Amino acid sequence: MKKPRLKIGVFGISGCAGCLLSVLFEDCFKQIVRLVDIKAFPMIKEEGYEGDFDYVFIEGTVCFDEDIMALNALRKRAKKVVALGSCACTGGVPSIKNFLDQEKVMKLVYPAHNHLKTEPPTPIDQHIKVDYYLPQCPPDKQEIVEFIKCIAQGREFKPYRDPVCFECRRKGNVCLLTKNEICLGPITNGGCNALCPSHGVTCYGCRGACKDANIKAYLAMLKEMGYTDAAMHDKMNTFAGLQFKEQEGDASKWLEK
Amino acid sequence: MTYLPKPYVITAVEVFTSDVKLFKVKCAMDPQPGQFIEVSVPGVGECPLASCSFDGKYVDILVRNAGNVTTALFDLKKKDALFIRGPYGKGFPLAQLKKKNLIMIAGGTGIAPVTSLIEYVEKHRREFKEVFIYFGFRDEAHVLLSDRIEKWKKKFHVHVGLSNDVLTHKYERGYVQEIMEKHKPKVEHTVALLCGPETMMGGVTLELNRLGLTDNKICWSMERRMECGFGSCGRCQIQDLYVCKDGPIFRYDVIKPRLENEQSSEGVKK
Amino acid sequence: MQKVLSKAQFPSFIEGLLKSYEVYGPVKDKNTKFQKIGSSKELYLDTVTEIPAKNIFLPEHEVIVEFKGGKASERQGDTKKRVIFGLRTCDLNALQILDKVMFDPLYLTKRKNTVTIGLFCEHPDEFCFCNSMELVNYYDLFFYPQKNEYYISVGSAKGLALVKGLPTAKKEVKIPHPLNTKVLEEKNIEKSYRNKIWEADAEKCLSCSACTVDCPTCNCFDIKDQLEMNLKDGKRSRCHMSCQLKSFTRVAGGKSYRDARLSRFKHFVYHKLVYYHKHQGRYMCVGCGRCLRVCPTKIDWVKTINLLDSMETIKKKGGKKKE
Repeated sequence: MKKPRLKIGVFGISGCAGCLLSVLFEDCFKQIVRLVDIKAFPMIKEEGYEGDFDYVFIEGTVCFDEDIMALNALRKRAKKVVALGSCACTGGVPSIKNFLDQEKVMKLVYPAHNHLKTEPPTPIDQHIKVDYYLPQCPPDKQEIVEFIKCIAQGREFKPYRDPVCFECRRKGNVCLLTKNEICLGPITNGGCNALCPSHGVTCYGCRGACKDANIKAYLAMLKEMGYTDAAMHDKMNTFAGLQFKEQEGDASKWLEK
Repeated sequence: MTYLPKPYVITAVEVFTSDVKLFKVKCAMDPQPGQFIEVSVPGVGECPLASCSFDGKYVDILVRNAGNVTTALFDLKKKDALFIRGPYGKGFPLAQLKKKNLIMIAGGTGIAPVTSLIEYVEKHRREFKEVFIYFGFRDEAHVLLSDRIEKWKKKFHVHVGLSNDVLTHKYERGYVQEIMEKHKPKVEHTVALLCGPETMMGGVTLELNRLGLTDNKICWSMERRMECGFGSCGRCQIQDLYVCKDGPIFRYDVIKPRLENEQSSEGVKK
Repeated sequence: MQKVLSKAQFPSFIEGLLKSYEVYGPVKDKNTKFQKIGSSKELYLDTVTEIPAKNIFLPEHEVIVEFKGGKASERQGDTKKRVIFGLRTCDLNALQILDKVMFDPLYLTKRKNTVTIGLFCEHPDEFCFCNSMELVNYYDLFFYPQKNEYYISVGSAKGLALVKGLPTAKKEVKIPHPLNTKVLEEKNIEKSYRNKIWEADAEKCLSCSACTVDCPTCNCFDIKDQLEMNLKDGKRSRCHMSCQLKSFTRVAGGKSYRDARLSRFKHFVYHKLVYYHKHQGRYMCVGCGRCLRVCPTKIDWVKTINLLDSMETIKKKGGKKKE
């Protein structure tokens, strides 16, 4: 196929750069560069490219005003924006701050830097239009490659929208809920091939809330297992608290009706 | 039964609208009218499509760009190969249509399976009585197979309705059921064959009922997700019926209670 | 015909099979499942396995067609000679049920080259309701344990070949039904499709798909393509799919035909008890109870069905009183 090679940019805002790093892993990066042109990737090369992008991958959470400015600038240069990693997609771990006393957190984390002005951490789609999401902490290298294949061929990328449980059961894992652990599998988007539960670690919801999740029934089940509201929500807030909260809101609204 | 598709060469591509193309494929397949085939693109996937028309040497496939596979199909050009397996399904109940008047109603790309039946009727004209054809499209730019429609107009009662309120000299304005009300078909010794979106078929069926045609004289062509094509994967089930092997064409009195049952649970919030 | 094998000789019988066959049997790892064994010591025969035997014939993910350089080639099934030991009556019936809906060479070849050896179920649990499901005798060999020996019923020539050397039983032993405490009552389920009673179960359902994945007769699958890096070649595989997921009925354009959880949940139950029955004249459910055992929210549709009938009866009685 004689399609022109796509121009890609990979950027990060406030974040740990882990998602950028996963693009750089040999098995991922070597494949990507066969199919597309990486025009800008400040983590590995100083930015010299001034032109536009077909796709821009953005990692990180919006925590400062500077982040919003950076996002807006990138959005203007990109035909499509891809949120890379949990932070960009759902707010990630930083978004826990939304559920805590903001001042206390500031004092606890930055006791000596009172001048820092931070915003409540939010995913990037609250500030700019996002076309595609590649969640997970860190994002799955194989999924990044699949995404690149898709766009290189001019096809639409179809996100995985079924719960983690489906992949987990298929692998024949022992269900962690039966061991009385809080596993977010039933309410979290899969696509990770049940990575954590396969290693005996409960799901933390890093791929975001599954649209089809039955949160009401899920919470009722945890309650029956003997967990308190605080314990359940602490777990749910780890990566995708904002999304779960939104869906739970829907669930309780439905209860009122 | 096999999943193995065979490559066939595209001999012509006709572009109708921004999202509909007709592929002429050199292929000695000889399906029954109304049967479908699984068309695939390597590495992308398969999709079930109606075989639009065929003569034992060529098969025409009408493709609307709606999903991943059809997007990939749209990239194919003349002399490229596409993969096909099939045909699958039962097709139109030809034995029950013989010596009857026929009403054929199609909306949008639903014209594809109906075309295969019209061409069968053309070849075996004496076996059928009067034929009434009603097509519905969005507007003049979205009319598909217009050359053939003109040709059919000479042989059958053909009426084309455009749903968008635009001026048209060639066609009429209104939904298919409205066009049908204007140009009433015969309903004695008649079977009606419908293909299109379910809401459209629902509206048309009500109108046919009003004209006096009972549900057992009406056939619906159903669309569902299919993977295998021969009643194995379970994806296309409408309650106990497999669209792939029991259909895709069903008598409305057979499919109606099943559709209503399934829809009864859809109303209840998750 | 029945053959006799003393329990003391059982290990050497299995070792004998291992010489010329790939032997599968129930083992206890993290959970209980059918797996290839290397010795009779690995076998775990106390309970029904958590993971069914269908995975031997329908792996979670299996390449069916390969595309290379514009040509397609189909994978043929595994022709290895296999024996599966320790299948319960429910597992055996499940295979018979699958045989009627799986038609591809991959499945058929594997089935043809496999000898099934059943084992009487001595310890059914509170979820088992196999006696309600009209199960049949379907095996190559079937082991019925007595005090010191196994009585082996022979169901086919394939089976007989494995026990030719064993002595024939002087007096045949009748094999009883396994003990069940749970019962699925015989009702007009078909007419109860719109009964509100299903809503309570659907409300509890997480749509996690555990019931379908661990069901020994759930065969529904997906055909998925994997594109190679040259963007031309690829592999097409058949993978497990579950009717409990929205993506099961999703078509191009995004519409799901069974969107509501309620209709997805009912599809599972009705497929097992009504839909399959209409085509094949038997239930698709074998009463192994795996779906009930693995459900994280403990949905018990068997109980629901039993309840449903009594509610209808009550209604009828109430009506009569008024008259």
